[in-house]
Amino acid sequence: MRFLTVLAILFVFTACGGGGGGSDSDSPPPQQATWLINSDQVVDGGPGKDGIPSIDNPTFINGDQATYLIDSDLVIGYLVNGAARAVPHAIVDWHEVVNLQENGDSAVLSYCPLTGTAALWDAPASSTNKEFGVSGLLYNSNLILYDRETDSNWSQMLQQSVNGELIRQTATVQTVIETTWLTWRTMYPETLVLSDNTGFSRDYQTYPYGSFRTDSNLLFQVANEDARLHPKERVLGILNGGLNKVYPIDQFSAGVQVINEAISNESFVVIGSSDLDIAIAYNSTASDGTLLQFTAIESSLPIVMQDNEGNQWDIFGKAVSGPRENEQLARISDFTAYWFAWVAFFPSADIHSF
Amino acid sequence: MLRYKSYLWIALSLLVIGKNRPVFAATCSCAGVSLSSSIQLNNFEPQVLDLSVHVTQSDISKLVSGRDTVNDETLRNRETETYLLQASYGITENFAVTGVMSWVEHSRSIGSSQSPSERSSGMGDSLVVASYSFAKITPFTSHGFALGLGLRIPTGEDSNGSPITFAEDLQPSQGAWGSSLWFNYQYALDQQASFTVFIDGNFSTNNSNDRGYSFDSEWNLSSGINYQLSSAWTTSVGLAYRDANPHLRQDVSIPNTGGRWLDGTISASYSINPTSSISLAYRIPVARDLNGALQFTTRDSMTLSWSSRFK
Repeated sequence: MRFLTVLAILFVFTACGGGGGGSDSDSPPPQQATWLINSDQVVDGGPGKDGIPSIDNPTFINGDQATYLIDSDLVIGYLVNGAARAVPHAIVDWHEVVNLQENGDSAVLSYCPLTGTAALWDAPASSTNKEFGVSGLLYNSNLILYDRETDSNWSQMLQQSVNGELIRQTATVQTVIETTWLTWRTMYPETLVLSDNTGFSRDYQTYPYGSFRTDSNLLFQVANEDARLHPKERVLGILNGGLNKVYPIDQFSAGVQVINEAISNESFVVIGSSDLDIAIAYNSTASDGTLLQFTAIESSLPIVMQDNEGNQWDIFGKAVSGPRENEQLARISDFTAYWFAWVAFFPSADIHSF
Repeated sequence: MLRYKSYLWIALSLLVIGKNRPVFAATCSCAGVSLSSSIQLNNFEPQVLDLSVHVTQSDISKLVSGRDTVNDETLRNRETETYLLQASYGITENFAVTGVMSWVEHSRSIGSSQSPSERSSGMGDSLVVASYSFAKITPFTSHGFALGLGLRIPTGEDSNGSPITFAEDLQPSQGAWGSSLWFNYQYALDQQASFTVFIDGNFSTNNSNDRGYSFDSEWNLSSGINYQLSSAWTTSVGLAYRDANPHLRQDVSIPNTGGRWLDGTISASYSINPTSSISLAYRIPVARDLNGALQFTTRDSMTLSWSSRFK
């Protein structure tokens, strides 16, 4: 009887799970096992795929209805056919991805609270399902999105699909301006802003990651660390040709400051202000090949600079007056990020000396 | 007189065997099993082997912000099943050794997502506890008190997940060594010891695994009443309190981990024969105060146990 009892116990244990451990019995198809990045550095952030819910049916309201925002709250601003839209950090801290549909065009706005990076991409033209979601994976602490059409994974900071059917495809990037709600509303008083009535039960007045925004700690390992700046210093980073350079936002002058750069055969203009909490950069060569020189214009937001021909340009790099009116300065690869995130992806960055 | 004493010893033995305080899994979605709740320190006899199997199913789908329940629109379903094999051997009248092995199965699905559910399974951590009994309840002694010292051994799997390794809360094992201190106090309210009150407590601390992740430390305190309804049936009700530090990664506190839980427990045991019993236990949250902005925690858990004594 005793022997049978012991035998029964052992049977129970060996019967559990088929006698061996493992995970998710469905192995991924071979092509999905290929990563453009080091897959050993891709980590499971914890919530699981779509565990952080994207906002798929965003509602925008008038700016004066956004009573949940205060002047110093950071927002991600963009234009839709000239009309201003803002998405507050307070909301995307919780959702990270907002699928946008306006005037028949689809786009995805993403924000990674762990790297302080925002991006606006056009949805892939070939897709029927143009939505993106949060994969739950991280690379260098940065958000990896996935598209719901092909289930391909996209690195937000590399702006490229790094795994799946669309591997190597680059995102079509649109300009966003990260700044305070006050600055954005000053520039675009008619702006619409994402409503906090998202359909999810989240306290948008609470930041979900404790003291992460200001402390010097990292929650996930990164490939490269650099102590020249505080890890959470917000910088405008520029990748242009062989150039890798950052401009700490709080080191710009209080008013609008314009920096004309010519580095390694690349000419670009950097616009920033510490008080306005804003920084952006554009190619300073006009569409006809003319190299323009810019000076700052104060107190005329969204107009921020004037060139040597007398044209005035706004924060989105559009000429609003002068001979080149309605011309658009070309984008360069630039976005705002925490310092630690920028150098994790793009090591040995130069730091602008103000 | 002898027959009366025999009846008393039989009743006490049944109480001891039948009073299975079953295992409860973690009240957070963390790896493996919170083995700290699994040990009964003072219910052993010299040169006697106590063997038990505990199967626990936990629903870890409750979304909480601090003290408040939050509606989960992602329709997450998160469950953990743990299988524990526990063996205790009384080396002397006062000294015993207990070993626990575990097998853990996790599953997670996001109902609002088109993605398939994720599962992991494997050997979990093991536990070895040496305990010393300073006093035991007998027909002549109404108090029982024991202390224990435990070692958590990372015997299990902690790298499940393909092609990307799952986060720690979906791993069967913590992958790290740990240590624990235990105490148990019992008091019999009547001479037949049909009514006993108990207080259990333990403090455990855990090192970091190979990925630099640690579940850090926690302490548990439970108290309740056992009541012997008949020679075969025993019931138990109580409260269990848990206080867990935030987890650490590379010595940095991870937001939205750790907190304090107060759970209610109820169980019923049936003695099949003088040496074997089965029991069913249920654990449900009474109150909690969890760290951070949002955490998933246990909605409830149920444990089925079987125990047997071998002389």
